[in-house]
Amino acid sequence: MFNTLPFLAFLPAHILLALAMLFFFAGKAVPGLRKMPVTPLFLLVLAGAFAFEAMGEGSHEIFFGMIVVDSFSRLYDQIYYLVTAIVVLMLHYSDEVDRDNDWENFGLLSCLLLGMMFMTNSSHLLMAVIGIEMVSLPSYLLVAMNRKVAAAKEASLKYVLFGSFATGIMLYGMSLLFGLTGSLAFADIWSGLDGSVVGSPVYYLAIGMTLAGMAFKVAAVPFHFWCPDAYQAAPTPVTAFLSVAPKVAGLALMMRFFAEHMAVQGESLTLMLSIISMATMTLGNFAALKQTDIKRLLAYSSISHAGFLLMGVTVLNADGRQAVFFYIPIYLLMNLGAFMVVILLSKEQNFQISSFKGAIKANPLLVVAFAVCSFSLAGIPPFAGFVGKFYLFKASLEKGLYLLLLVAGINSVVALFYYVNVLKVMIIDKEAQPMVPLTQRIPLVFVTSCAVPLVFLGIYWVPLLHWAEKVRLFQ
Amino acid sequence: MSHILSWVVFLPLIGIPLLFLLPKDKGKWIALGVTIADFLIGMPVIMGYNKTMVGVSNPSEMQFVERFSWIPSLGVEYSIGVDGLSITMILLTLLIGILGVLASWNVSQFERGYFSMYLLLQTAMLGVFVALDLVLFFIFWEVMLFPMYFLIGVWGGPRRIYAAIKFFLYTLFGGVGMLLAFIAMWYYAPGERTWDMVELLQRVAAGGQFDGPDIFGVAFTKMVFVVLFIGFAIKVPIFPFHTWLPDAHVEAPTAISVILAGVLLKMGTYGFLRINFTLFPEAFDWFRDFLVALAVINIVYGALCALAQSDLKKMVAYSSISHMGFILLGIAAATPQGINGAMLQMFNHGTITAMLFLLVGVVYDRAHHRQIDGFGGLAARTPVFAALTSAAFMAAVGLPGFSGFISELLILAGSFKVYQVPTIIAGLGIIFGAGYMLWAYQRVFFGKLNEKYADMPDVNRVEVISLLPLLVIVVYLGIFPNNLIVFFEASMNHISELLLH
Repeated sequence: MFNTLPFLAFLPAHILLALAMLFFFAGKAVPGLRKMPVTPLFLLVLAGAFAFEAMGEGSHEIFFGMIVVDSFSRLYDQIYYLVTAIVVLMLHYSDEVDRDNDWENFGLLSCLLLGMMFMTNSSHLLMAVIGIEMVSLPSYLLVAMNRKVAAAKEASLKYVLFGSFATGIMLYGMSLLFGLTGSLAFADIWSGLDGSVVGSPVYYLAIGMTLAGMAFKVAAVPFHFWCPDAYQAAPTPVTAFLSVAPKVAGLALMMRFFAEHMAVQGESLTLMLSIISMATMTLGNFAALKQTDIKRLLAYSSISHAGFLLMGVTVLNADGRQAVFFYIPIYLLMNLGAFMVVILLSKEQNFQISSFKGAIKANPLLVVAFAVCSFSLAGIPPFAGFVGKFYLFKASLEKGLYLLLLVAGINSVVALFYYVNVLKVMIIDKEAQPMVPLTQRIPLVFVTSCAVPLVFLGIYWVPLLHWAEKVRLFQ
Repeated sequence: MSHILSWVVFLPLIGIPLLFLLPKDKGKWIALGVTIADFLIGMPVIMGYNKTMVGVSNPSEMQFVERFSWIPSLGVEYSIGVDGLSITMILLTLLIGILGVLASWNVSQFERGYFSMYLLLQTAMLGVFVALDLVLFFIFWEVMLFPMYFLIGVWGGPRRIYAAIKFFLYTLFGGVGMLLAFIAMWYYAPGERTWDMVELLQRVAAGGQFDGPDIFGVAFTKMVFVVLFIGFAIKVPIFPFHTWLPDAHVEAPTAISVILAGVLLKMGTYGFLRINFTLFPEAFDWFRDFLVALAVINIVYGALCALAQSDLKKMVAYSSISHMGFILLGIAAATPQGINGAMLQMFNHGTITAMLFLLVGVVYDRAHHRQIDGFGGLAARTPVFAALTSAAFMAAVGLPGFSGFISELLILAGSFKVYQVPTIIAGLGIIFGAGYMLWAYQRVFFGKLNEKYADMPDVNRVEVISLLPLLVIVVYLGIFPNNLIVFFEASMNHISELLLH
């Protein structure tokens, strides 16, 4: 009965837990320990976990079937490690954070990482809620990382309120689902909802409310209100992290939740999800048009990208899952690259778009990298963002979701406008005051290593396709 | 198998690193060298082209084919090749590419940035004309957008940002629809799924059907046809999608106007012939009357707008819209004459309009404005310029002896067989054309000399070098049009058969 092997499959989670403990407690308790170089240590552990997941095989159920470790979760976990590693590097080069709290911050990040893994690995709604909360709590704190900034505290509180509200709704929806089916395990829920319930108001209410918690993590409409404020107030590396990782975890949870739906539920679920997807991308895009602060703009752009990614969830099949996973590493590169450039170009934490006027003169390389990331975000070939959108469009078209495609098509055109507008400010406008060229080497290497793969993958994306192959099925 | 066609397409890209490696002030020489080299290695393709092979719907008759698997799981291939339709456009692009560099001789601001964008644009344009795979075609098609945005946005006139973004948004709007249409065509392809447009066309010609479901209550083929049509029509541009063109032309630097009118617009009509109309012949039949109406609107409306302009460049831009209407008319008529005339017009419009924009650039460089009424009597001060302009204007009007006359005659003769009344109305466009051209010429060159320009210098050597080749071609093709027609005749006659079947 008690087999250690499956637990070994979940080894990275244990290591991360140990790491979090180290960061929180040992750092305080053992004198002299804090002198250790913490960034390399964290990166090393992440690399080890990545390698471990990359080698893993088979599907294992552990903790009484609450957690599943399979090809799907292993790939998503790898993404989380990657994002965290990049963000740790960004934190290292940011001038917005207090260096003294590195240990606590990294402790929070490890917990967050663990929470995302729970979200991805769960096969039971209770586990999912625990995962969501484990992601949410450190996020609230990370947003207010700079304790003395009033806006950060306000944003964090807003985030807390919305988070608890969303979780509350989700729990209510779960109780309805439990009432309908007598179980909260994903597979049992779908087999319990038969044709007589599907389509009734309580069915939509139960599923819709359960979705709320996940939609909150994805920042999907109507649970997106926290997003721009939190993104604006948080230190930019944290913003970059929040704009990618928890979203991905939310999407992964959604896909796992819906994976075992029955044919009879298919149509109603597609309808619900496509409405959320359309609303999210449209609202994100149109709100982004009016922003004057670049972090808020990127926040809204990330909302609209969540809408695009939801297209892949909407189709509810293996192609959709692959399309979503395929888009994520690309989204990660282009979004983090864009944020990194913003960090490097900004002066005295001024993120008004107009303060970037004529930035190309002093920092041509950075601005070119930003242009690559922006065009990629806008989905213009030959940059990788186009390929990502291509697969999402393809999956939806094969499913015959023409209205969704129409809305998505119009949105991609609208999105172009604000990205290009920022580029106009950086490249075409004359600089208001002389800017200082960046002298550090490593940040430049970082930005280049985001931009170059975007071009490469835009022309030849087979390697990424191979990587995404295993995400199609849960094996 | 040599990769000569790939070399032709990608050679300009090699120039980009060179621009940044070699000294800063050599940008224009490098660009000139690269475009001339590209022209020279393009010559074996054009000389070695077998004029009797039809191409179009016969995969085995495409020439200089190169084919590699690119994204195997999706079936996307790097597949390029030429037939009569492409080879003419390649010739035009290579030629305009060199002249565009000459027209950019005075660019001083961010020279390397300018020419790197220029060369990227050149590769994208050549790529569109040789791509035989829908995904490859689309990528080349869209890659052209952002260099164009920067070329207009950074080096353009006062309202350049508005014009650049308008161009970008319009084209992307068409592009997104096109992408969706391509995916739909792949998914519901007759027979096995393929992105190969020649293969698809062969199956359609053999009676294959795209068997997709109705979309928003409209039959699949009609819907896809219309979406594709909008995508290509924005590029041509066809009324009512034409409003970006005058803005883009007016704000763009001279060389970019030349490229825009000379080559970019042709990509739209090329798309009509290669993909849109031929792959959906039944939808084409259903839409044909409407196409003719649009063509006539383009001709007459464009000409009337040109008549009303006070800005010389805007007048040329509208005349360009008017002349593009003839191409659509010829294609919609689909008779062998009509369609051969349309193809010839695609080439002729490229050379004649390029000449007009170069001439407008000359006057703008000296006077820094383009108000038609702001000049007067220039003929006395700048006789060479006046002579060159008169030749170009006569060519644009369609005077016999110049190439424009032949192509418009062919188009009108071809369409008169099937659409008498529209053809007669289209003929009016030519009269209007003579009206605005001659009137503008008179106001700029004749009358009392405007004292402000009493010491205006005549055209310089670089300008003459960029204009003369075009003038020679225009006159030569006015007398021996058949020397160009033989290149595409076989292909065009075949397209006519496919459309009329």
